[in-house]
Amino acid sequence: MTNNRPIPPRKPTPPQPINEPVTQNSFKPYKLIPLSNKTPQRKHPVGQDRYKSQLLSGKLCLKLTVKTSTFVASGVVVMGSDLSSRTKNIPLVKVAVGKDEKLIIPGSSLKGVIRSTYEAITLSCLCKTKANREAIPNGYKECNDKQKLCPACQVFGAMGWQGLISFNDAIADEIKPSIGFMPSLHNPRPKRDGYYLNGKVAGRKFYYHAIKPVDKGQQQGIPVQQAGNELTFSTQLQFMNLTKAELGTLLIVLGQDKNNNFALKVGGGKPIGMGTMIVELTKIERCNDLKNRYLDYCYSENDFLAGDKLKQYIQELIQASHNEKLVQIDALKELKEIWKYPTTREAPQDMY
Amino acid sequence: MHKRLVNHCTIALKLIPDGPILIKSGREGADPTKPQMEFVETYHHGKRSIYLPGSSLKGAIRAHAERIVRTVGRDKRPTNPKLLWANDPLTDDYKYLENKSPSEIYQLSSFTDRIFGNTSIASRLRIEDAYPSSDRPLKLEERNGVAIDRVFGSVAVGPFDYQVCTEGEFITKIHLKNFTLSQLGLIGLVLRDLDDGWFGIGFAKSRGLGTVNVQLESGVVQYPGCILNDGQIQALGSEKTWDITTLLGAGAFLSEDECRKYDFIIDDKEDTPVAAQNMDLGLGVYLLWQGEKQVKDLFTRGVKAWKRHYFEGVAA
Ligand SMILES: [Zn+2]
Repeated sequence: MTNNRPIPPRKPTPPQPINEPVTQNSFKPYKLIPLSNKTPQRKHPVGQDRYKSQLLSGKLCLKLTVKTSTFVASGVVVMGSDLSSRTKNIPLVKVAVGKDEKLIIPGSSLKGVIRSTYEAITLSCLCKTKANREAIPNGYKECNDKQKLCPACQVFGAMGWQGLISFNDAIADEIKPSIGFMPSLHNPRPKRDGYYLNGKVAGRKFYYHAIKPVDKGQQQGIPVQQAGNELTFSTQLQFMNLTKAELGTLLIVLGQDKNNNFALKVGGGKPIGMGTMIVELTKIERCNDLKNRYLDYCYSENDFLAGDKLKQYIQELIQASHNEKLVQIDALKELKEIWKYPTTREAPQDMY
Repeated sequence: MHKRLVNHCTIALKLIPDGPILIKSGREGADPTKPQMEFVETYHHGKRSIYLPGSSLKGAIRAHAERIVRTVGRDKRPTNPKLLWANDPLTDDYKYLENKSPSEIYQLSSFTDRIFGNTSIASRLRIEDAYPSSDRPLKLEERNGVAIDRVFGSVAVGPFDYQVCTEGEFITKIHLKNFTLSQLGLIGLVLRDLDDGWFGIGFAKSRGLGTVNVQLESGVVQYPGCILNDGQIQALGSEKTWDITTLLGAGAFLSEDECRKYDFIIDDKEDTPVAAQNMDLGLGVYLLWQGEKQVKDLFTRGVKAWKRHYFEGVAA
């Protein structure tokens, strides 16, 4: 356990040989996945005006399991006594998004993490950043012409283009109240040199997983209503008109590639080790025969792939993603290094 | 023939949020104490209430109906008018309808324009505004959205908050007048897909909003110009009679010449398990499908006609 303990930043860093895992960045809880030297290739999106028989339409059924406490803020703060009898002694609690008494990971939060990961491992534009325009490397400016979109914008949408997949809220499978602690985090400092390389944005920021989130300790902070360890969530993701390679890349992002499996980071408190979730793809519903689906009211030809057949199909799709070079091997390697799970890393006690 | 009402169908249904839904009101951010995006409201039974405007529902249903027609048919006008096709009403200039007679306009219009209308023909489908029922209380909540900065990990856009409805049920009715059975079938397929989550209503479907369950309550099909006579449905002022358990599309009421002129299906009919009854005031008859199972049976019969229509076009 102790060999991976992060080095406190104030101590002078001893010179490190190249390729040593302990580098300048390693005590930071994050790493940037570099942008490729190649530039994003943009093309016309496929369209939603019909279901195309040579493309894939259907649903993914997902089960998400919390590995380190996860908190998605609803924006509401209540008195502990108003939340439950268990919390009556806590003055104020930040409330998570929920339905009835079950916690929810909103579709928008899932879309955010899945989209940004898809962007990082494909040759996609650098969207949603406050980095200066001059600092955006050539060709990486956010897509603004809906006729010409980068790989991520084609699948997830852009201004004036709805995208090909839609997310639903993920709902906890059981009522399992858990109160955690969220320290006050500093804002990132965008001026920091580490974000740039030769005056240009160096990459996309991803936080490492940790064994467990930092303890309350001496930190300033506030109690939060969180999804605790091993709580599971279920959701469905609808897709239409995806190529095999696009669906395969999505599955890689969801950690379904057995050679590159990793966990996602969802919600708040990422720097302090919160938000680790692993994804299980339980079922794919495919519409194989669109004519049949739209010529019979009670169609029966939809395919529900599960078990071994599903595993086989997943590998077929992921292979397509590699064959068509949609997934960028270098970026995927970086991502795997950051997001591999389980981990032996410990969350840093210093806040970033 | 459009001046005459030959048949009319009313589908009563409930829309139940399966997750958050939001139909945005036009006024954004006017009141700083309210969320930036609010649900549309209106007066209903004397008090303010959120609702699903029929126009929004119709827009979503039309878009998906067009998607289905293009999936099995075409997106351009074919030379054979029997082939199924759907245009894009937003980009269509409708030049092909200029200086044409009413029957030619109908024949040249796409399958979906014949239902939902275009610059030259009126819509034959109407959806009532959907109001919340008192059976299942509404739950409104605020959600907030942020976009995370891809480089710095901080907030890049937002937070903006929006109001969503996560629980409740909305009651509405779909009306189809002078409908063909294949048109009824297509509406059945659209509602099936809506229930199945293949498309949503309102704002930000891709971010997890807009999915609803569709609960089919009842279907009523009326033939205003018919009476029951000796166990048969009889069209007044015509020789036409049908068995009392017959679902009749518009083409069944027209002469063969009229059908050809407008490109209606001749003898558009299906057997049903329900029997026609007299309407309250004596004139006209109606058939009633009650409950989910029966309404699905009604749609199943419509889809049979839709399928036949498809294959007739392909074979022609
Ligand atoms: Zn883009």
